[in-house]
Amino acid sequence: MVELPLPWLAGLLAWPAVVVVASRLRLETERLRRLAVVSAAGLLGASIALAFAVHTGDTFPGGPRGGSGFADGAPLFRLDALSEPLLAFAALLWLVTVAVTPRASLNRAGIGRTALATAATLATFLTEQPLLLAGLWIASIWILLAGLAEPEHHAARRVAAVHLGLSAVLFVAGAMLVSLAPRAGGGARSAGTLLIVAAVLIRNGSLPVHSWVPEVFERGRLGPAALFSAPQVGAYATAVLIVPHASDAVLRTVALLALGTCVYGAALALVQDDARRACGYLFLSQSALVMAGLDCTSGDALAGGLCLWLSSGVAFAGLARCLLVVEARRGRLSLARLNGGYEWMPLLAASFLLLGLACTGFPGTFGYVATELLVDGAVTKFPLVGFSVIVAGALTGLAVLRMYFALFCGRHEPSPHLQLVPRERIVFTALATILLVFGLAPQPLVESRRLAAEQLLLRRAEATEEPGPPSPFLPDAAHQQRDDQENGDQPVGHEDREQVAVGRLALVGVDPGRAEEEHRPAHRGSHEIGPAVPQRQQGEDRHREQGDRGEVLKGTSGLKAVHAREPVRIHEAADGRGHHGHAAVADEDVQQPDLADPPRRPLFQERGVDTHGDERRGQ
Amino acid sequence: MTAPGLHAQDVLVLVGLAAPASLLALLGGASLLNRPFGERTEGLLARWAMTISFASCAVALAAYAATGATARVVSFGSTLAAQGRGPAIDLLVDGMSLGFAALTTAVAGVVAAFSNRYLHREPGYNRYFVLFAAFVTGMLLVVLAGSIEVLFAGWEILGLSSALLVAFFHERAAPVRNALRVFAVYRVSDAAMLTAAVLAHHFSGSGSLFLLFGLSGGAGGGVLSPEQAWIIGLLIVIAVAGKCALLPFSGWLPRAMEGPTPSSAVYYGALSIHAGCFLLLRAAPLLERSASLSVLVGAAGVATAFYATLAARVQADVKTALALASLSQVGIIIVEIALGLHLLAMLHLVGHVCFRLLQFLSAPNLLHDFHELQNAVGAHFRPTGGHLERLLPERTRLWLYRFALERGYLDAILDRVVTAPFLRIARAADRVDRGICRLVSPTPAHDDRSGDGASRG
Repeated sequence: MVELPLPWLAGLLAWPAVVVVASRLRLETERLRRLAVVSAAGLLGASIALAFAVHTGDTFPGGPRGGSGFADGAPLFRLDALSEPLLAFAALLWLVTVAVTPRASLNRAGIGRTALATAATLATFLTEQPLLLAGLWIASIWILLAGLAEPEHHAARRVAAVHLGLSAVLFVAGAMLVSLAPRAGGGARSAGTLLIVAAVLIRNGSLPVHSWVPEVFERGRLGPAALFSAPQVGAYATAVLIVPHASDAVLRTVALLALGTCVYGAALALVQDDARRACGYLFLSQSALVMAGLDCTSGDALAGGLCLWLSSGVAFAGLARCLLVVEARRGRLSLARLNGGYEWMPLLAASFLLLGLACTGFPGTFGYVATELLVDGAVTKFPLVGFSVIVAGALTGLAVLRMYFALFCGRHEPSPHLQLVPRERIVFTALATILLVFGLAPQPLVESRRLAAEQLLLRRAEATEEPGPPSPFLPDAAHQQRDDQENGDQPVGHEDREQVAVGRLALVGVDPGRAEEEHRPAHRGSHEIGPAVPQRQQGEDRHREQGDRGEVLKGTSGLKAVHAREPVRIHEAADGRGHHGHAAVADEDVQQPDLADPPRRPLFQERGVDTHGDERRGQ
Repeated sequence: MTAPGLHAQDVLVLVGLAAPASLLALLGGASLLNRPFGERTEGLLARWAMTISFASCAVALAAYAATGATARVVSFGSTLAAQGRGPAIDLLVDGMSLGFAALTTAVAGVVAAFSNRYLHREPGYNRYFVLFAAFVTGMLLVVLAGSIEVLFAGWEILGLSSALLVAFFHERAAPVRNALRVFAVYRVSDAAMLTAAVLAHHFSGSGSLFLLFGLSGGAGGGVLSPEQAWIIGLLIVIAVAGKCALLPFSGWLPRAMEGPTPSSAVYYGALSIHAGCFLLLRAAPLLERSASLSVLVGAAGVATAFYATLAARVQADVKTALALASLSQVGIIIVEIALGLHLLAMLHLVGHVCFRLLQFLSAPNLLHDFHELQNAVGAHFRPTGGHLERLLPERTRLWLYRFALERGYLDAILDRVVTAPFLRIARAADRVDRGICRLVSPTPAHDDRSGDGASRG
């Protein structure tokens, strides 16, 4: 985590601020739109530059390195692995919004609101302070409700106000309790977290408090609703306030609700006759999938959820904009009939299909990788219910194809006015390209999300006073940073981090040499297939290793068992076979750690433990 | 044995795969940029891509056969490169994959050349070739897959391109409606395949087909316990049943005939419908481990063959009759696989692909060819199939006729058992959602959905 220096913060927020100020002047609407497009593009560039600067330099040029604490003394605005791509994500959503909004829906106040909403989203993604988050939570809700001020939207506004107002009250109360926690004790923290969970569930439209979302999409305004929903601020609040502190039972409940919601949303999207309402249910399903990933607390699911957050956010925002563009030309369309018009807008039709397929995790799009990781993690955590992600994906795919057919196929009289204008073409082509490029070369983004997931799990481990999540395959930046500070070291290099990773392998009883061999970085090239028996042995080795890994990815619960000296049972539960070598290592050789202050440095010393374990396995 | 780097054979395979993928990128990219190539250029690009792809696969196959090489896995790492984890991108290069890759590209080349003339000046010419390139890429991914993730990717691409080509003449309602039905069955198949992929990772820690299916010549599914092998095998059989239109999923096949003839030929006469057979041949070691699974597959094959041959006899539409005839042969190939007659199944498959492709492609000339044949023979052909009329009582014949005409009532059963309850429950849930909102805000909302004017976004 790196504290964000004031000049950088100002540099980011200045872009939307310029547009907010300009929207108060008597600028012509199209001119204001051009200014907003330039500002959004500038913000996007600045966000990407900032992410690169932090990612490569681990600090800001000219800025101090921030505090590492998560509770007291934490910086007001900071940037960590979680937030790095979220800034560019928010900027991209703003750019898409201002560039593609149809002229008929455009007004100065609306452009000002989009800039304000973006500023609030940016600030949200840059802070972890509960009270500040609560303020921004209220601000974003106010901006949405302000966009529904016209009489024809009053019913939707009332429904949204009731639900989101309740959500705001719960969030503020929860944030206050969480902020008081250092003085009031763990009870206040737990109660506060529960209130925040309730607030997030309402805002994200999780079952059973979901009905306001399709209502706002259908009877409110699609543009503001999409801009409010697509960044998934609720997911961010979950990541920084809930995942680190909530109990296993709470997270489990939220994950189960989310898994139910993702199937429910996809199923109801499939039967809608109104395109906007279908869009609302698709959003329910997508945001629930992200929540399911975040709340599964398995490394894979969390990384998958974080990937899906970006993928589905971009795809969903693009999908909603496609719909707006179609409606701007043809009015509200029913999905109960074929509306035609493909010949006049093939690019829009292709973009709609690609963006929709990205939502469903279609191969070749970034959603595919995200969904694979998410399904894998969800099934690890919930062996049966986890498969609902697959069901939701299948239903979403059908719903998207049905929408595509209804919106673009069928007979339509020649109407050249349906053709897209250049800025719309550029935006939809760019969106589809982004999803395809990251689908074909997903490694950088996936690894960035994997690192963010590791840090979140580590925070959770710290907050629940357990040892860090024993993921041996990634350098743990936060871990390492704390070690540095304890010892007054300079930031460590890559080699040192690998040492930490090897040490952690030793802690959980995995042979570092073997793991390094079997998980060697991206083995490329080809190899001939050997005879049956060695191959089978290799498979068995892999299987055994996977058992280890599966148990490692169980994260905190696996190590909790080590503390409790119940390793054999846990190992047996991990894969049904048991690895007694590991059990013996854990039982005999690992020293009982002090739960109040879990030791970190001994990670290196415990390599010897693994040696014993290996010797025992070899016997 | 590990050999660093790529062999010449691997490079040829990659070229074979890259050619249709490049065609897809080129045509799709041009469409996205709203600058599609002209018909002449597209036809030329498609023919060249297929020619290059076929030449590469054929040379690789010849080299493989000549050198007596062993099976090889060509690995491109995984999504999480630094950890060697995530979906693995592996290709499996052996005689079977190379043989089917060569067959695929040969068929694709023929169909590309045929389509170029058949779809001349068709408004959807560009769209057709984009989807055709996607299909060939997907098919080659299925055939060359070395990991279950690659297999799944190819499987999904096949399904989507198939559905979109069924809806090729999308200005009419029927093709669109049927495409959605086809896609619904494909989603079931895809879901089964994805579930198998996830379970494979959980059971064995690997998505390698070589390990999962135990293709090294030893006991099948060496890394899986018998129960695990059975579960994964069952999921693969469900996936295959969806893609091959085996019972009870056969209802979609006649509906898929709405697409243009070349696409019907390549999908439902030649390649796509046999993709499941290929997968079952790959997974044969899994079937060998479980007698119950083999019996299940065999029973599905027998039932499908009888159903299809019966239904094919009463169809008035030549493409539908051909598709059902194709399905009856697929049923027999499936039975051969279940009986362990793998070589026979392979030969049957290759022969059937070529024969049915020819039949489909010449279907538009059927009456013309028929008349020419009769002129050449100098007499009318005698009707065939009369033995059923002699052997069965009239009531049974009438019942069978109705059964065949309604294609086994499969669609009606599916509607009654799956679609109608699903729609009923989902719509009831939707009414509840709307009711909750009316409770919160009783004032009826101003309905701004009427009219064609642009509504406020």
